[in-house]
Amino acid sequence: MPMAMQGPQAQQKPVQFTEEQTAQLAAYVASLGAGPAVPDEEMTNAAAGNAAEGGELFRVNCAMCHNAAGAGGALTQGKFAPSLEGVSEKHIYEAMVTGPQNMPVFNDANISPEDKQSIIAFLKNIEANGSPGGAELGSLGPVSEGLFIWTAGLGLVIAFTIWLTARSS
Amino acid sequence: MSVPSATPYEPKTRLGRVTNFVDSRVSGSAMVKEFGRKVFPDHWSFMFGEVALYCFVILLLSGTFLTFFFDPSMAETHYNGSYVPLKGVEMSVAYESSLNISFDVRGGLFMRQVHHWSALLFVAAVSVHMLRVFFTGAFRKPRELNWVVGGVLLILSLAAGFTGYSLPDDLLSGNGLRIIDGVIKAVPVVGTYISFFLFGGEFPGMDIIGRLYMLHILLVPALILLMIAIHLFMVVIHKHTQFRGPGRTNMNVVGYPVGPVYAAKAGGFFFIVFGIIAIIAGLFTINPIWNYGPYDPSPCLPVPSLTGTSAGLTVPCA
Amino acid sequence: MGDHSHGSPNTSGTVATAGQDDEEKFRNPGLPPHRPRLADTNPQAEKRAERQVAALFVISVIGTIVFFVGYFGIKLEGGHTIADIRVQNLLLGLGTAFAMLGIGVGIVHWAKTLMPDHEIIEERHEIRPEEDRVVAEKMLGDIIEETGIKRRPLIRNTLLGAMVLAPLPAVAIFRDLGPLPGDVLRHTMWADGVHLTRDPSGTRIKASDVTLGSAFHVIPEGLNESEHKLEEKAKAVVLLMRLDPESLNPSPGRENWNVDGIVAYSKICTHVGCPVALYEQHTHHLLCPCHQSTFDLTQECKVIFGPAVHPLPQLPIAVDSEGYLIATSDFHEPVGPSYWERG
Repeated sequence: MPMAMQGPQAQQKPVQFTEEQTAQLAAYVASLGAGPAVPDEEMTNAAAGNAAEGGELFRVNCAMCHNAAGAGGALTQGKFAPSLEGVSEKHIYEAMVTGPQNMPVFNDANISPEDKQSIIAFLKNIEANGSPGGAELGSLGPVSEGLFIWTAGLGLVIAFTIWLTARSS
Repeated sequence: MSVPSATPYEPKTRLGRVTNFVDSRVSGSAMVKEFGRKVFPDHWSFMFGEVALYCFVILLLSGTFLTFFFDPSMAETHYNGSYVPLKGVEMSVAYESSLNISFDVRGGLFMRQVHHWSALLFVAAVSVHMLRVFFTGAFRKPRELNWVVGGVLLILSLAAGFTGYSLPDDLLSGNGLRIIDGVIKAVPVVGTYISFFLFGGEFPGMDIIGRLYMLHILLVPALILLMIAIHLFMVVIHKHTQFRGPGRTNMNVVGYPVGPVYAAKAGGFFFIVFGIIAIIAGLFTINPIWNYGPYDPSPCLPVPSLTGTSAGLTVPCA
Repeated sequence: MGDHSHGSPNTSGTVATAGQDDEEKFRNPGLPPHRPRLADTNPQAEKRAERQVAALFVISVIGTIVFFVGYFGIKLEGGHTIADIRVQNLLLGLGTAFAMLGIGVGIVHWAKTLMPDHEIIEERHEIRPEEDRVVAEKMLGDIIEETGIKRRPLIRNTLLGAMVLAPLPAVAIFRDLGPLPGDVLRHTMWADGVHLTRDPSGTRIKASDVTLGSAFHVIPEGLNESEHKLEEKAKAVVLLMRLDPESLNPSPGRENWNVDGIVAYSKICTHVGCPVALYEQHTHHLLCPCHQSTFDLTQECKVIFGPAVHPLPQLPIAVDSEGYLIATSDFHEPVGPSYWERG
């Protein structure tokens, strides 16, 4: 729905309709003309996708906004692409196909249903596995790594230097 | 020199004999005499330079390990290692060897993380050390030249960091290289020439990672070592500064002697710094190149990922 | 602090003198009396400190053993999971940490509690004693005199000439680092008739595929098979989007560069070359994540925010007989960051 002001991100508001009412609204809109439907189970089955191909597609089409690990990213004027962690396969598929807020529309001619499945497989794979190197610090990249070393790292070092040069009892 | 004395020295223990053998050939006694009980003042803010030095040693050690496994070639290959989300993906050999180190060499990921975390701590320690020297006025005569050498060391540490994080040829550092190429091309008159000479043609070319590898493991560390030698030599000549206090004058240094107290504390501190780096590298991920993917001019990463860099302060982003 | 030998302490006015003056303004109170530590006076405390140091060294041994368990206990020979690597990394890290910290903290604790903690005073000496300077000056004078260079201008001048020229080959030998740029930067793979294809698969794109709000990442057909793939890609990547034709406002001469509101722009930022990949559908802005240059699609990608100066070059497109999108020419200006010869 085009927003009144294209500025900061629109936050989710309290749900206005019940599930049944939402389904009825969707059926009505679908009766007016062609458009993407709610994906069925088979299309969002992560096990059927190819995580490596999905990763390549994700990096070209999605990582610039959502971050290489799907941790989310900033856009202009207070908008952001949210983190994809814990998001259901169905929700991911629907977002690609409808283009919520300022996300572009990735229709089935742009990214085919099989490719969408692969992207979902990729996301679920990295979500399930986590990082082999330990805690991820938000997967935000060098900014958080640098901040960590300047605060926690240097702090720990300084704590040791103060202990080291202090007079023993 | 070897003037026979009236009663020649006869060592009594085996250790004594060995020591005597070496000492009579290298004059170690003179060094011991000069430096054995040299006095160093003791304040925790004086230790940042040491932190930087120890980080550099850790970088040399972990870096040497990595050189046994890293291949800086930009030749095209398809990944066939154990990381599933990249299976079959086209990438450079440099990126593939970095993935190999991370996923298929025991201790490889640990060494990569030790190397990268201590690079960050290195730059942080150098910066905090410079702040300490500045705010305590320790750069004043006769230490101005040492301050300049220190400034050069800061720049060299950034150069080492930049060349180092570009080596895996991943998306994040590749975009950093792209930006450097854009900056170089903007140099008036000779910009495009410098860019084409550096990259061996158009960006990205097939040469840059190999050239950065040479800079990173040979030229820059050699320059850093040279600068560190000059830096420490001058500290020895000038003696360390000290805070004011009772008994302390402009013409003396008050503290503990090198042997045994200061050497024990400083030597022990090396192990402490190594231990801190090790615990951080064991617990926290840094530079997850498997997430970024191989470098390609098409994909990009969002704003927070691209701001700042791995070596602390140089820029893919202002 | 520091050696304030550049000015007499009395004249600088900011330095408290400490016994440097005949008329002593402040008397040096000398080092404070030594306070013994627990381990100095109490033999039990001494023994306890010894045991603590020993315990720390034993912790180090345990750490080393943990390292070996982690290293040899987990094999990375295929069939291992990410969790395996994570556990191994943790064990190697903890093992090394305790091994190192055990030794380090142990030695430092030893020094702090058991080694003598009497402060020692060492005198600073003049950095450059006057007698050294005098001797060095005479020596240098003799050395230069013995070369005779002052009396022999012919030798001096020819030597200078030779020494200035001799290092030049060391510079010139690097000429073959790379080719001359020529006008390579002005041309990309795009030309009249080249099809727009999806990145990275290389499949052709129909105009009808590009619906309102879409963003396609595009490479020219044939790129994936080209010999210099990444080099060409670094100039030829394009973003394809569809807007409402009413909102486009093409400038004179560019009216036929779009197809029913479908426009194609270079993806390479004109600031320093990052891919401008972030498309905001409703605001029709393109955002470059590196330095946040923002381009407005309704103003032909003019820069509306950020450090970029030139707008993104537009690729003129048309539709072929089968409905696939093609370029009608190369870009009309060089893509990517500005450079001296760009004009």
